[in-house]
Amino acid sequence: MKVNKKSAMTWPAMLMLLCFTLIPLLIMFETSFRSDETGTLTLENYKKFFTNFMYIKLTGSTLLMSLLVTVISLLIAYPLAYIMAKKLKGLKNVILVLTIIPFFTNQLVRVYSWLIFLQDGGILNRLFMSFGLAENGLGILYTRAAVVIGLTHAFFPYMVVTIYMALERMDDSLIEASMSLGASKWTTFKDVIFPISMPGVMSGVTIVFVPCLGSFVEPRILGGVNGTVIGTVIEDQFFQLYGWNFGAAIAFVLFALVLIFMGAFGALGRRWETE
Amino acid sequence: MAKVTLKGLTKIYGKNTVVDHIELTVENGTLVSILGPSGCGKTTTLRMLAGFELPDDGEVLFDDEPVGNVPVNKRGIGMVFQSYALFPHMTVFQNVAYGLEQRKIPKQDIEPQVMEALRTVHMADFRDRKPSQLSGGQQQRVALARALVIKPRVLLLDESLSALDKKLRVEMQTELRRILEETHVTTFFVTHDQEEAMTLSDTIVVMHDGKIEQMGTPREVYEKPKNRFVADFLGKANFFEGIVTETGEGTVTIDTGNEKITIPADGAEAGEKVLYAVRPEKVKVFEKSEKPAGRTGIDGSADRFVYKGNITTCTVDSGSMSILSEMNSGDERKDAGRNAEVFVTWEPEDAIRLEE
Repeated sequence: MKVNKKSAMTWPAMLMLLCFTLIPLLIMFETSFRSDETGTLTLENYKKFFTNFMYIKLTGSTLLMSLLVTVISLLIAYPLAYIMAKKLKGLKNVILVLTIIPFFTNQLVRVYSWLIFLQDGGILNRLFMSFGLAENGLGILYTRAAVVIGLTHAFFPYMVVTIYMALERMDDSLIEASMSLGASKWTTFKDVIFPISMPGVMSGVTIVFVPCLGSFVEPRILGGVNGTVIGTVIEDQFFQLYGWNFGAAIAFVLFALVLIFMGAFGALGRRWETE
Repeated sequence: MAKVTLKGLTKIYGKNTVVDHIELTVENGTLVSILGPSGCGKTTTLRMLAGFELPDDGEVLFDDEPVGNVPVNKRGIGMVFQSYALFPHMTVFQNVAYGLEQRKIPKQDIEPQVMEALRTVHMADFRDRKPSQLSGGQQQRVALARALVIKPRVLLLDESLSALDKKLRVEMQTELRRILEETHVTTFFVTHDQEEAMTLSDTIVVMHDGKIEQMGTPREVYEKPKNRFVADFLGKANFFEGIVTETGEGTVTIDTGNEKITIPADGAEAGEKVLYAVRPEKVKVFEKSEKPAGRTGIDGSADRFVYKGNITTCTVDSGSMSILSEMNSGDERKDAGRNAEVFVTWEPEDAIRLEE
C-alpha cells in the first residue's frame, strides 16, 4: 500500500484547497443565484448583468485595458528577457533582481508611489514642464493611461521571468544553425527564436492578462473616476453596496471569461509545443 | 565546394592564445579531420571557418578569396552541430527546407530537393516527424541532410557523432563517409576521437595548444608521427629517450640517464639526443626459453596476458621501465602465466624516431 502512503502527503494541501478555495467558491456560486430581496434561487442577478449595456461595455473596456497592458508588457519584457538570456549573460542576475523588485514591494506602496510620481506637481510633471514639454502638467493621473502604467509595472516582471526561462532553455546553436543556413538575424528571430519561446510568451501573457481582468486597486487609486473597471464594480458591490448576490454573479461572469481566455492562450501555446 | 586556406589564423581570449597562427591549405573535395584533446583550439578554428568567431589575426580564404568580411549567413557553409540543433518546432521536412527558403528558391523546386536530400540519408519516410520523435542517429541524419541540401562550399561538422553510442557511431561513420564521397564537398570534421578521424578523413590535422602538430593521411600520422604528442595521442606508444652512446647493425644503445639500454632501431649517431616511439602492436613477446638467438631486445617480467577480444595485451616490466605489447589474439601463443620471465623485441624500422 505504498501508493496510498505517498498520496497521504498531498492531503494537507488538498484540505487547504477544499476549505479555502473550493468550498468558498461553491458558496459564492450559490450566492450568485440568490435573489437580493427574497433569498430564493433565481437568475435575476445574471439577467441584470447581461441586460444592462453599461456592464457589457465595462467588461469590454476592461478586456481592452488588460489587452493593452499585456501587449505593452510583452514589448517591454521580451527584449529584456532576450538580453538577459542571450546577450548580457553576466548581468542577468542584476537585471533579474531589478526586474522583480515590484514583486517584493507591497501593492499599496507601489501604487501610491505611482500616485506621487504621476500627480500634478509630481516628479514626472515637473520634469516635462522644466523642458517645456507640457505647460500645464501632463494631467496623466486619474486617466486610463495611469492605470495601464500601474498595472504594467505590477505584472510585466512575471512575463520577463517566463520568457527568460523559455529563452534560457533554448540551445544557442539553434540560432547559429539558422544563421549557417543563410537566414538573416531578423528571419532567425521571426522563424526560430520567437516560435521556440512561444510557450513562455503564452504563459507570460496568461499571467499578466488574467490578473489585469480582475484588478481593482490600481484602477481605483490611479484611475479615479476614469478607473472604473469590472474589478471595481465587484468590489463596490461587496463593500459599498452590500449587493453580494449581484457582486457574486459579476465575479462568476469574470471567472468564466478568465477560463475562456486561459483555455485559448493554452491552446495557442500548445500549437507551438515541440513534442 | 571550395579550396580552403587558413593564413596565420589566430584567436586570443584574454591572455590565452587559443588558436596560434595556423597555416593550412585544403584542396577542393577533401575530408579533413581536426583532431585534438579538448581545449586544443579545434572547435574555435571551426567556428572561425564558419564565421561565428572573428580571427584576431590572419584570415580564412575560400578559393583564394578572403571571407573575413562575409557574414555567416552569406558564407555558403553547411554546419552540423554537436547537439544537431534541429529546429524543434519544425518537421523534418521543414528543417531541411529552411536553408532553401532563405535562398529564395521557388516553392515547387524546394520539395524535390528536400526529398532527394532526405533519401540520401535514408530519412525520406520521416518527413513529417518532429525532431523529438527521432532517435539520436536519425536526428544526426536530418542535420546532415539540412546542411547538405544547400550545397555548401564547405561542410563543417562539430563533434557531430560524439553524442551517439558506440555501435551507432561506427555505423554513422561509414554512412557519413559514403555520403560525403558522393557529394564531394570540402569537409572539416572536428573530433577528439582518433578512431573516428582515421575512419572518416583523407587528411588528419592534429592540433595541440592552438598549433598544428602534424598533418597528413591517417597512415602517415599514425605510422610516422612527428613528435611525442602525436605518437601518444594517436594510439599508444612505448617511448625510449636519451643520449646515443653506441650504434650497431640495427641497434642503438641509449643512455636514458638511469641506465644504458640497447634497442632495435636505426637512424641515429653516437652523441645524439634521441626519442624513439614503438607501437605496442609491433612489440613481440617471447618466453625466455624461446628467446631467438642473436636478437637485440629487452628482458623483463610480464605481469599477465590480458585477453581483450581481438587483441591480447601484456605489460612487460624491465625493472626500470614498462613496455606495452598488443598481440593479435588470433595468433597461436602459449600463455606465459603471471610474472613469467620474457624477452621483448621489434624490428629496427618499427622504432620511429621522433622530434622532441
